[in-house]
Amino acid sequence: MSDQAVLFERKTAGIAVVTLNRPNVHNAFNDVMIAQLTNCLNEIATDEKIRVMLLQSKGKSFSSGADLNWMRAAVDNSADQNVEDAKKLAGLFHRLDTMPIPTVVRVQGPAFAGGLGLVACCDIALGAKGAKFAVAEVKLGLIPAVISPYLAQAIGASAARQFFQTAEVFGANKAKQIGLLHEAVDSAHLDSTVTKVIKSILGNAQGANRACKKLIYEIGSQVSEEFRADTARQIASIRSTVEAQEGMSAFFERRHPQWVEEK
Amino acid sequence: MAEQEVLLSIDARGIGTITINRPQVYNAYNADLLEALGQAIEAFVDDKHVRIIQIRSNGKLFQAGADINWLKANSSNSLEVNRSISELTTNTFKTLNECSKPLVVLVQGGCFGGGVGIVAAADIVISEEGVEFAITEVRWGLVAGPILTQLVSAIGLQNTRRFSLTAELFDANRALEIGLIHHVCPVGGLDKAVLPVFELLLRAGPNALNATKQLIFDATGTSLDDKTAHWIINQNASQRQSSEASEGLASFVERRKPSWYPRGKENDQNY
Repeated sequence: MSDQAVLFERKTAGIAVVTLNRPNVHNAFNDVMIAQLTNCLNEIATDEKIRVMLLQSKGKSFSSGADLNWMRAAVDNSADQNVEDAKKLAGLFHRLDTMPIPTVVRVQGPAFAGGLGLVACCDIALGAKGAKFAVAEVKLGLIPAVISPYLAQAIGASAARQFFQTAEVFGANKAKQIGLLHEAVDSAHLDSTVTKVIKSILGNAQGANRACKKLIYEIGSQVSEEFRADTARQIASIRSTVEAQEGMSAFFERRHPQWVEEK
Repeated sequence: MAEQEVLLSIDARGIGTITINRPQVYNAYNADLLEALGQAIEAFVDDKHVRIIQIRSNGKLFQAGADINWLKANSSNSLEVNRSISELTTNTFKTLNECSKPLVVLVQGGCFGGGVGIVAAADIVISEEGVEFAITEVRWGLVAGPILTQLVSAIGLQNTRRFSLTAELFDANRALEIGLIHHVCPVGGLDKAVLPVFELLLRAGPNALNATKQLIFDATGTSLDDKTAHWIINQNASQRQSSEASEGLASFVERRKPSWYPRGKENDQNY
């Protein structure tokens, strides 16, 4: 059904394919998509028959992150509602990061802001050479709050300091170099690369894969519930500021925000 | 007397060499080899004549990880026995990883499973070109618990996620790219390639080297703490006793595919 924000398909041999399906808005996620994606991941997480998950998206862009219309409207909600909404977003990344099975993500095009967060929460990230990336939040007066723990783990503190603060666009090769992508291949070879990795996983023992995934989480710097709630409060608070509201308005009005000096 | 699992020598420069010596089984480790390896490291750390420790191995393959026959023989044993195996493995890798003197590892042929853990435990790794690596445990229904923490330190969380979950092969160039090894040399060129490394390490103050190494662990919090070690040991032991692991180990010994291996044409499609 085309009005589904997220498509979910069970393939043979225990493969779950999850497809972001809002191509007309570059697969940006709003409250509907966050809820659908979270539900879908919950279903996969409790299905013992599923052995590997593939996350992909429709259209040219992988995902441009949170839908700015939805972000901007948060200011109209009560403070509590605003934080609750942000917690759902934080919950989505946590859900993806802690899936009990190996997760593969197919990044066919640009991934910005929260879209980059989705990539960082997966185990194996395979991208097309033409894909572009940016931790774009500060450009809009926002911060990469809820994705920061996952992204910083994936790319390391040094790259996080650079890209969180410059919001600059970087290519797939750079993404591979800093550890965000595992492979950057020609678009024509993206599907075969995905297939190869999934086949490797299917050749492994399911119980061991699940146990291994648990272990990876246990030994990694686990993101505590407290810290997640704190990141949610931070994004809820900053998106209500005059600065962020101006940044997001400027984006929609296709103009520079006030803090950019006109030349 | 049975052949020695590891051979030890110390040269005039203060380089202590540990040579893993089970070439007939691709230097796979059993309990005897692990114990000998851990004791060798401890002896070299205590020996004031030793300034640098190097690990290498005899035969075509650097190291094939755990001896599957040894694991298989014990997987049906009691939980106690399996816990002691996991404990020995985890402690030996901790000893290797946190050894206070500079540790250099030289790799030839291939390096699989726990062998990748030996490499990740080193300060400096040189590999011949063309060497293949793989974190193979899940393929046999096992979990690479005892080596995972140092793998994360060496190659980062995302590379650990990928290579420990897929068990796929990667070559020396890829190993170089992800930071598992530091230098690739031509086949047969390990002795020559390691010379400048020794030269540099011998120029450094021995106490300063040890203090630097200690500081690296303290500053990054990458020593294996007792709580995590306990968790790894329990999980490693119980997974080895699972029916899945016994099928995986049996399939290895019987040279067949395990029951979970995908079959049929539908697996050839793109997803």
